[in-house]
Amino acid sequence: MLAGLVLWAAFSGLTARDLWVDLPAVLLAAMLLSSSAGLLRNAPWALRMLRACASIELLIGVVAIAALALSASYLVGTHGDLGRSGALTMTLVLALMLPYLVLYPVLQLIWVYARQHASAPR
Amino acid sequence: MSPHALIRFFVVYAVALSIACAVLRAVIYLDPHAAPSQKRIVSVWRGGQRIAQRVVTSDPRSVLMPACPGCLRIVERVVDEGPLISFTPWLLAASLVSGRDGYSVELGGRKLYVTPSDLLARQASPGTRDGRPRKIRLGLDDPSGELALVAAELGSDAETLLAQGRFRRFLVRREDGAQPWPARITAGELDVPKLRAAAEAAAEYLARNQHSDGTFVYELLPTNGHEQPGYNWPRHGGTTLFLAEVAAWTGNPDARRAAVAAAKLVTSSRTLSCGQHSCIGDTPRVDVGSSALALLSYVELYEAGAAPELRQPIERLASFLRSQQRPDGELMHEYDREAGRRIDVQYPYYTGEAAYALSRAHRVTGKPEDLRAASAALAYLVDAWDFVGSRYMFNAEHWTCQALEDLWDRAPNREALRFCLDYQSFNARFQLGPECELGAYDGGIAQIPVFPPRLTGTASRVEAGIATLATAIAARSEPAVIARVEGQLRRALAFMMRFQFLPGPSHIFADPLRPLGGIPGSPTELNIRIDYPQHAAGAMLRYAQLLERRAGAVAKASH
Repeated sequence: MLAGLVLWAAFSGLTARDLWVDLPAVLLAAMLLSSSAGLLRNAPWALRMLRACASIELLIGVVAIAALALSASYLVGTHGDLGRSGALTMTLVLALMLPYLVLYPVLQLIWVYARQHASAPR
Repeated sequence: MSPHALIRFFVVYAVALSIACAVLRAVIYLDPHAAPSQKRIVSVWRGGQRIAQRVVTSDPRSVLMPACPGCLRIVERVVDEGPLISFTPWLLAASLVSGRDGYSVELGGRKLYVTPSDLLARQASPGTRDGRPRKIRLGLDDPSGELALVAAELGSDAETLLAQGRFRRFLVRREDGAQPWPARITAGELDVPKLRAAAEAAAEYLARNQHSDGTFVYELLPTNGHEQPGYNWPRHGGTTLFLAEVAAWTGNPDARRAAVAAAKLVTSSRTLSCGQHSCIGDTPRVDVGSSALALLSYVELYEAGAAPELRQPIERLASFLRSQQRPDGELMHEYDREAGRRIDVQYPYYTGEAAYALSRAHRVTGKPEDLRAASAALAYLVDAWDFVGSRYMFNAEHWTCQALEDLWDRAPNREALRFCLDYQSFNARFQLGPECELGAYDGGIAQIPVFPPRLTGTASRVEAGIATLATAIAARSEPAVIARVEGQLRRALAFMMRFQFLPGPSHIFADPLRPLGGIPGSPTELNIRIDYPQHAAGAMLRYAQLLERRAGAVAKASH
């Protein structure tokens, strides 16, 4: 589902084509799909692939949130208090971003960590 | 990554990001309440053009004195200044607060100050394109053009200026003897004399800017004195209505003369045949709005005794509006005169205008069908706005709520009152408060929190609000609801009165007397289109009338 969202955001959400955006989006979607397929087939590389995907998602998430927070601080610096509607817009954007780009990859990383430790020889 | 490592990462990330945000804000922020610096920008203006400027840190009283005959000398004191990020023209534009900020730029040892007055004088950020508000509004509408202009003054080009110029942003406070603009008016100070003076001044602006044939100067650009081309008959009707209302209430002879001349023009040369009926327009396809607003102005003039000859045109126009009505109450908004048929299309406002016009016409004609048609149109407007979430979003409903008020004593519609009260609650969500740092915008209704609110958008909502308030009082709604709506409206009215040109920033006007009394589109779009004073001053007039009626009722009760 996340792979579909990534492709939709890149190819439907963005109006112009840019290789610097489109290529990473396709690569990430491909990684997400292959890790899912690998997990279903219990492939030995699946957990490593999933960890890589989750790390990339988390990296995108923390960079996006930092960009958003810095932009908001800049806007508040130039324009002063933006009031209720400004805060509402920020909260809405954060609420849309957090589940997919922070919470989900964090849970994935914890799950991968737990699985790897559970299967490791004692 | 282990859970502990993740927690450590997020703690470090949150702390680092918080510090970075706080530092960025502190570096960029300009404090409008800071103790002012010693730096003052003294400029001399003539015919809306700055002809001299000097920046001093000493006593400015003798600087650029004596000013030339017919010149205005302006002193602006720098309150706070800080860095202005200018990597790209658009970042530069986004970093300036429209109407509030000025900027300085240093290049090759030369420094230039561009004050808020300079930017307003060249209308650098009206936030409109072709008369419509832009979706994205920044501190400069055309940053590349602005850069080219400033670069030319510094003997350079825009590219060099952007790459090598050192930009800074500043806030100023006026320190000359001229009347301040925005004026210092608060909601608590509003009373009938102030509101009446503001409404009459707006009416006099319109009367002064009327051509001999009865048309008005449709849109005036006071900064250069240019008149925008184009005309709009519904707006002509609305302006006539406002002038007729002022004339009826104050007896102002200029308003009365202008209203009668404007109405005569419509009866003599813009009244056409639409099948068996009379309608207003000047094209093969006419719209319902022109007829509805002409009808409203006719009724006002007829009721005031200014034009008894309008009785028959009132009946004819009311008959045309009724003929355009569908069985469900909605109106067909166009009529094709060549094909002799009604066209079932809908545009904003027209059904509300027709409902209000038919309701007012009924008081003259006494025909039950006019009242029925008005009630049906109002009911349609309210009932049709019914979907999931419809109580949380609204179109502009100024005419709808005025129809509600006018119909209340003959055909009260409680659902319409609920609708109009909800509309006011919705508007309150977008009303700026006294803490707004963009400018003196407390009370203004702005859908974009980083750009000055438009006066005309605020005005139409206030018109609806005053009609709603009057109806809520008549319907004996809860006192808390009445107090809430009235508080909201008073703040919005004070906002509009602050920005009326009495006399306004006259130093940047080509002819300081011509826009006197006019009301601009926004604090940064200084054009005066005929409907801007109509809506804003119309709201002032109606609130003054409401206050007067209330005072009369209290006096009567105490006797």
